[in-house]
Amino acid sequence: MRAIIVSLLLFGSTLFSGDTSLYQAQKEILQSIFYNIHLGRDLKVWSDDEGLNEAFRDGFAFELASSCNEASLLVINTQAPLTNGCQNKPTFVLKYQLLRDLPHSFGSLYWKKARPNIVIIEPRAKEQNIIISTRLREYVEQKLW
Amino acid sequence: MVKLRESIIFFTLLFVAGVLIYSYQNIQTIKETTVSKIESHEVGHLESFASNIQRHLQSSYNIKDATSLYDLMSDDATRERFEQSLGVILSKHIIYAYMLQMDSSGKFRFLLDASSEDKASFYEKFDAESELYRDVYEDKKARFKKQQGLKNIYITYAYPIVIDGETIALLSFDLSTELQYSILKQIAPLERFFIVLSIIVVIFLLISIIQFINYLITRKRIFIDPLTQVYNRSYLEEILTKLDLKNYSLALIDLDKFKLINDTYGHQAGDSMLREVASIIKASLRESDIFVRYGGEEFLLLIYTRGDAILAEEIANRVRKNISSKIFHINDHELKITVSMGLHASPSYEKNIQEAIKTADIALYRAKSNGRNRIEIFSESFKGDTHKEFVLECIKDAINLGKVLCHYQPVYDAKDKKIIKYEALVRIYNKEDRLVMPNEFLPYIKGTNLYYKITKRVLEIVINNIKTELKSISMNISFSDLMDSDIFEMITEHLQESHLPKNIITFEILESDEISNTQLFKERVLALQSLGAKISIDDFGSGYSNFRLVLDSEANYLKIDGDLIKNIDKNEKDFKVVDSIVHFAKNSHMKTIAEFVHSKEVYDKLIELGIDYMQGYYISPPKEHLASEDELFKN
Repeated sequence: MRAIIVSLLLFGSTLFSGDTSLYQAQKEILQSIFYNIHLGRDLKVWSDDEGLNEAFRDGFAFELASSCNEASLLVINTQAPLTNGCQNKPTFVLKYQLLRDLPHSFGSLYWKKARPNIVIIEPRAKEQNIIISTRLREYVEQKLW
Repeated sequence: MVKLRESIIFFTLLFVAGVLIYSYQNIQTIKETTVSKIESHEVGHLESFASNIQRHLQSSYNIKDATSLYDLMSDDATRERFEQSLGVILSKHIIYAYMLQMDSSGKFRFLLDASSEDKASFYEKFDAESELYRDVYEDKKARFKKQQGLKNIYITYAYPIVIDGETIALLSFDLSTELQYSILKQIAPLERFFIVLSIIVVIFLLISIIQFINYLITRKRIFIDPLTQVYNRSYLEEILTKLDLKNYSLALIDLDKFKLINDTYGHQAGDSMLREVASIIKASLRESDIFVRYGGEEFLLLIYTRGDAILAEEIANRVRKNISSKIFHINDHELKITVSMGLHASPSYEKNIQEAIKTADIALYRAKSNGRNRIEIFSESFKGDTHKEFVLECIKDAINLGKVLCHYQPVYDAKDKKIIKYEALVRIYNKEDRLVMPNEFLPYIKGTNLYYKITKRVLEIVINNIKTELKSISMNISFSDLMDSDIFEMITEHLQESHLPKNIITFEILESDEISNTQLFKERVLALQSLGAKISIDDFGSGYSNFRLVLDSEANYLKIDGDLIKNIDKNEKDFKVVDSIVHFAKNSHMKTIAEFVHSKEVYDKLIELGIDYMQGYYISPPKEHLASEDELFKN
C-alpha cells in the first residue's frame, strides 16, 4: 500500500519530467497494483501503449505477452477496438473514460486535475473472478460514477 | 606599520562585504515578501469568492447538512448552474475549481467540477490532497498548499463550507504556475537589479582584494631586504613619522673586516654569513625592537628601552656576544666574526633620527678605531668633537656624492726636460663646493672605514686616468695602509683587474714608526712590484729615515722630504743632508725626487746636486688635469 502511495507521488512528480520517466513511473504503479490482484491464472500482460511496453521490456515483474490473444491481462490506453478474442479479457485502463467504454475493464490508473488516481471497480472484478487484495481497499469503488 | 590608506582599504572591504551580504539577503527577503503578498492577494480573492458561494448555498437553497448538499448537487441541472457559477473564476491563473465532499469512508468525491477539460463525474473519487482536505475539514479553516512537481499547478487552495459548525464540503481551487511566472516576472527587474548590484560588488571586492594582496606583496618587496629577510632602510623611512624615539635607543652595528670574508671566500659565502648574522641579531632581540639592514654589512637597531640606557647596553652586548661566540661554517671552514657597535642611548635628544644615526655612526667609528669587537656608547663628550663630526660628515657626503677627486702635480726630469710622471693628490669638495685639502680631513679618518673607502676611490680615479691618458701616475699610501690587510688586498685586487701597463703606477709610501713587522712590509712592497707597480719612499730624510728598511724594500724612487728642499738654497746643512741622500740613493740604485721646488734658486741648487726628478710650484702647481710640458715654469 505504502509502495503504491509512494509510487503515486513519484508518478505525480515525474509527470512532466519526460515521457520515459512517466512510463517508468506508470510501470512501477501498475506493478504494485498487479501484485495485489489475483486472476486465478498466471499474469501475462499486454498493452496497446508502445511507450509503456518499452518500459515493461526494461524490467517488469510479470510476463509480457506478445499479443493480446496470449495475454491474461490487458493494459489499455486507447479506444481502438480490440480483436474478438481479446474483448472479454480482464482489462486495466489508463483513462477513466475507458472504464465506461470497455465493459471488461475493472480498474484504472489515470490522472485527474494533474494528479494520479487509481480506481478499481469491485463488481467488475468479481464478475471476472479477480480477487482484489485488501491493501487496495481505499481505491475500490462499488460502481462507476 | 599599516598606513591610513591601507586601513581605509581594509574597512572599505569590510563595508563592501557587509553591503554584499545585506544585498543578497535583501534579494531573497524582497522576493519572498513580494511573492507572498501577491499570493495572499490571489488567495484573498478566492476566499471572498468561495465565501459568496457558501452564502448563496445557505440563503438560496437552505442547505443544512452534507446530505442536503449531496441531494442538491445530484440534480444535473442544478449542478450545471453551480458549475457555471464556479467556472466564472477560472482564468489562466486559476485552472481548476471544484467542490469535494468527504464520504462516510473518508474518501473525497466531486460534487462539482467547473473545468471543461479533464472534468470529473459527479461523485467520482479524488485520491489527491487528502491530507490538506482532511485538515481543512477538521479545523474548518481555509488553507493553501504550494505544490511541488505537479504539472501546471502552483498552489491548491481549499475553503471549507461550514454549516452549523460542521464542514459539509469544501471548495478547491488550483492556481496555475502561470501565476508564479507572472509574479516572478514582476519582481524580475528588482531581482536583476540586486544581482547586477551583487556582481558589481563582488567584482569590486575581488579587485580590492587583489589590490590588497598586491599591496602586501609589494610592501614586503619594498620593505624587506631579500638577502637577510629583515627590514631595510625604506622601512625605516616609512615608520619615521610614527616612531617615538623617546622609547628607543639606537645602535649601529658593523661587521668587522667583513670584506675579508667576501674577498677570501667569495660573495656567496659573505651573503651566507650576513644572513646568519642577521638571524642571530634577530634572535637576540625582542618583539618590540626594530631591526633594519642599514647598508652592506651595517645594521641598525632601535632598542625599545623607554629611556633605560642600561637595558640598551645589555641588549647591544648580548647581540655582540652572540655573534662573536658563533662559529660560522663557510666552504668547509670554521670562521668567526665580530661586530663593532655605536650606541646612542637617547636618540630623541637629537633633532631627528638622521641626526641620531649620525651620532651613533660617530660612536661606531670610535668602536672601530678603538680595536673593533666593542660597543661605544655615545656620550656628551663626543659632542665636544664637533669639528671631527663635521669633517666625517663632509667626507661621507663627498664619497656618496662623488665629490672625491685628484689633482696632479708633474714630476719633472730636468736633464731630459720632460715630465716623467704625475703625483695624484686627493681633494674633496665640501657641501659648499669648497675644495678641501687632505691635511684637513685625512687625520680624522685614519683607521676607519672611511679611510678605506677614500683610498679605494683614489685608486679607482688614478687607474681610470692612467687608462685614459696612458701616463705614469703615483699615489700616496702610508706604511700603515700597506700593512692593513683590507687596504692592501683592495690595492692588489684593483691592480690585477685593471691590467695596467708595467711600471705605469707608482705607490709613494710614507714611512713611519708604525712598522713593527718589517718582514711583512718588505713582502708587500715586493708583491706590489710583482704586479707591475713602482715603489717610491716618500718624505725621506725627516722623521724616522730608516735607511736599512729603505734599502731592504728595494724601492724605485726616494723622494726627499720637502722640509730639506725648500730652503736648500739658503741652508748649508740642508744642502749637505740632501747631498748625502743623493749619494745614498745613487749607491742603492734608486732615483731621487725632490719636492717643494718653489723657486729657480732651489731648482738650480738641485740640478747642481744631481737630483734626478723634481716637483714643486716653481715647475707646476697640482692641476685638475695632467699638465703638458708647455704648461711648466709659468709661475
